[in-house]
Amino acid sequence: MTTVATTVKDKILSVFKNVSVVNNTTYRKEALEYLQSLEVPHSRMENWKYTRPAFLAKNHYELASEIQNIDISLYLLDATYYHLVFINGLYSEKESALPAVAKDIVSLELKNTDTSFNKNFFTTLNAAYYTAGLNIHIPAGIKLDKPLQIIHLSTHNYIANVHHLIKVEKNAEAEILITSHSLSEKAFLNIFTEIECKENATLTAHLLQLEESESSQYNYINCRQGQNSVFTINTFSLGKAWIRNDLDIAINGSHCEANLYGAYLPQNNQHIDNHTLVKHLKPHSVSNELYKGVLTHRSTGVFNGKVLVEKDAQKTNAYQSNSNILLSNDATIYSKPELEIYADDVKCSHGSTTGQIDEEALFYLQSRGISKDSAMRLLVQAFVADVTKSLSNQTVKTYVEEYVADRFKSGYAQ
Amino acid sequence: MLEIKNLKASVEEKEILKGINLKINAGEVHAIMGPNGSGKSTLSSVLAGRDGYEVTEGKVDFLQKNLLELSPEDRAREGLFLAFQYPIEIPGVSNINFLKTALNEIRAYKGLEPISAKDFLALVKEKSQLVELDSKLANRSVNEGFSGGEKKRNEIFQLAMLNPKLAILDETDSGLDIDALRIVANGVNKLRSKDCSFIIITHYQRLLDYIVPDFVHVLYNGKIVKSGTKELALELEEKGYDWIKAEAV
Ligand SMILES: Nc1ncnc2c1ncn2[C@@H]1O[C@H](COP(=O)(O)OP(=O)(O)O)[C@@H](O)[C@H]1O
Ligand SMILES: [Mg+2]
Repeated sequence: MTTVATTVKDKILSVFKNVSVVNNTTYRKEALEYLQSLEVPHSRMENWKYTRPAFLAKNHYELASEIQNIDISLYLLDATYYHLVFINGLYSEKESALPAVAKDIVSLELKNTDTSFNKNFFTTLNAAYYTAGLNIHIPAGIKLDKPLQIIHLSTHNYIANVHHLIKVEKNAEAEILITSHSLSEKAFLNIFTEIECKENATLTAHLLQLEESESSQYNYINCRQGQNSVFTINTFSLGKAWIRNDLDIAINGSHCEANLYGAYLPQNNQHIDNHTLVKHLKPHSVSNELYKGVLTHRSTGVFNGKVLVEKDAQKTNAYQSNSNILLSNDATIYSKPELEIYADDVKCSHGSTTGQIDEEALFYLQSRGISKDSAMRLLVQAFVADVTKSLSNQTVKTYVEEYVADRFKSGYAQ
Repeated sequence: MLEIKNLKASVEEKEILKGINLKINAGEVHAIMGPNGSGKSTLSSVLAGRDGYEVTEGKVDFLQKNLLELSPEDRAREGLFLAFQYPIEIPGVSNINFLKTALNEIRAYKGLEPISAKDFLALVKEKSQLVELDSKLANRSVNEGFSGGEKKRNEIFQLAMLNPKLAILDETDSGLDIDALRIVANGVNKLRSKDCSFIIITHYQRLLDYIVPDFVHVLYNGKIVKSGTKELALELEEKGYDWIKAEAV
């Protein structure tokens, strides 16, 4: 039987038909097998109602066979940070900078213990065919002295599957930037990141999606938190790519803190989807979630945030909020906050708002001699600053704020 | 400097201003009084260029320009300032950043260089003292969490910063206690000069004890029904508005 779904899948899988899986581990074998039973997500699946990746089958993808020579200095947020560079799914040692002291912390050998690849078609595809990735292991009691930036650069019509493992041991601390950039609208980046924060660990991750071309990205991150750990993840989608982010956080210890902040500013025909899931499994933890969207032109945004509080997770405090500004009549946002609570002694709140720019505020600013364009910029900046004000990393904060100022420097396009 | 001729304006098809005539010369202070709902705020909104008001007849000349043809920002750049009856809060936009943007856009309009950071700070310091506005408030978001009195003082602070040629104060006195009223009035009196005219809209004559006007007008049902000097305000205080209403019928 040939259905539309199987042709889409066949088309995507055909890219990999000549791949001889080198380290033919059980993990990969299982993934390959499981992949047979999966469909490419489509709109009849509850979690994919508004985001349809079938268009990928229209592109002709290839796998990069060698590491391209590209000067990546443009993509460094801060030249003093450690940085590790992946170009079209291949690790570029030449472009990376990792001093000897950090060599024990980062390796390129992935030892997979988890079978969480079964999330969906893309994660399973990644598990079966990933070409590179980092195994970051922060030993107990160690604080990584500088942030580490993982750079993903996409060019041509390459499809890249990158798989990272990040483990922060007991009492350890690290800050990691995961950035993506693209030079071609035909590229597809599929990143799968597994994170574990052990007891008392602190991890701050910044996702900066800065694609300069209308390429595509699927990004899946899961994080398991142990007792007293603090995990913060800030997702800023500031580029031009089609993006689907899936964030799964399992708070598996008591007295944890999970912070999820995000801002997305799609333009033109762009589509950005943020799906988040925060599972409270143990008592006395806090989760804070704030996502904000500014949408222009004919762009689409999707926010689906689910907070699940299990029976044992008493005394949970969970806050979630999503708000959006539509700067064009043709822009669309689908926002769905979800709360599922099985414990009785909890404090939870969620909310979602969507609106236009405040006309009263606009007039107030104009009446003081400020042009409509500048007034608009000030109001959009203020809206996004609500998210960036929580950032302790000044480099990231400034980057995002300057992006917004620059993007709206001459008002906004319908 | 300002001449309003037979100005008629409607909101949602309903005529609110029914033929206003008013002439203001440089340096004059005019008070406009009148009962609630008579059209005072509508007049100030139409002059400042707020959306949603349709001018059906008449014209307004401001410093030899057709005011009604200008965008709200260009009216401000030409020297018009409106202190709002209900100043709104703008979370996330700092007072300072906002005023610096405003000042520099006005300067650019006049072909002037942006103000230096040093001069700007000195100006903020000087002008915030004028209305005894806590300098901490200047750094906060525009009007966010300000008390009613602080909001009104912030309006006068902005007025002082932008140095307009005509300032319209729409019920700046309402909701102020006597101390705040005195501070606001002192501020205004210091700004009063041959280069700056004022339209003081008020419901009560109390403010006019502190800011003594050159002329007083009574606006009723969309028209100026009576004009006089400061004695008219006292008469209104004594007799209320009923005799005006009776006369106007
Ligand atoms: N935006 C508006 N929409 C509808 N009616 C309005 C609006 N603004 C003013 N009005 C009406 O116009 C009249 C005059 O209002 P206003 O100018 O606020 O009076 P005042 O400031 O003298 O109290 C009132 O009847 C009021 O209801
Ligand atoms: Mg009024």
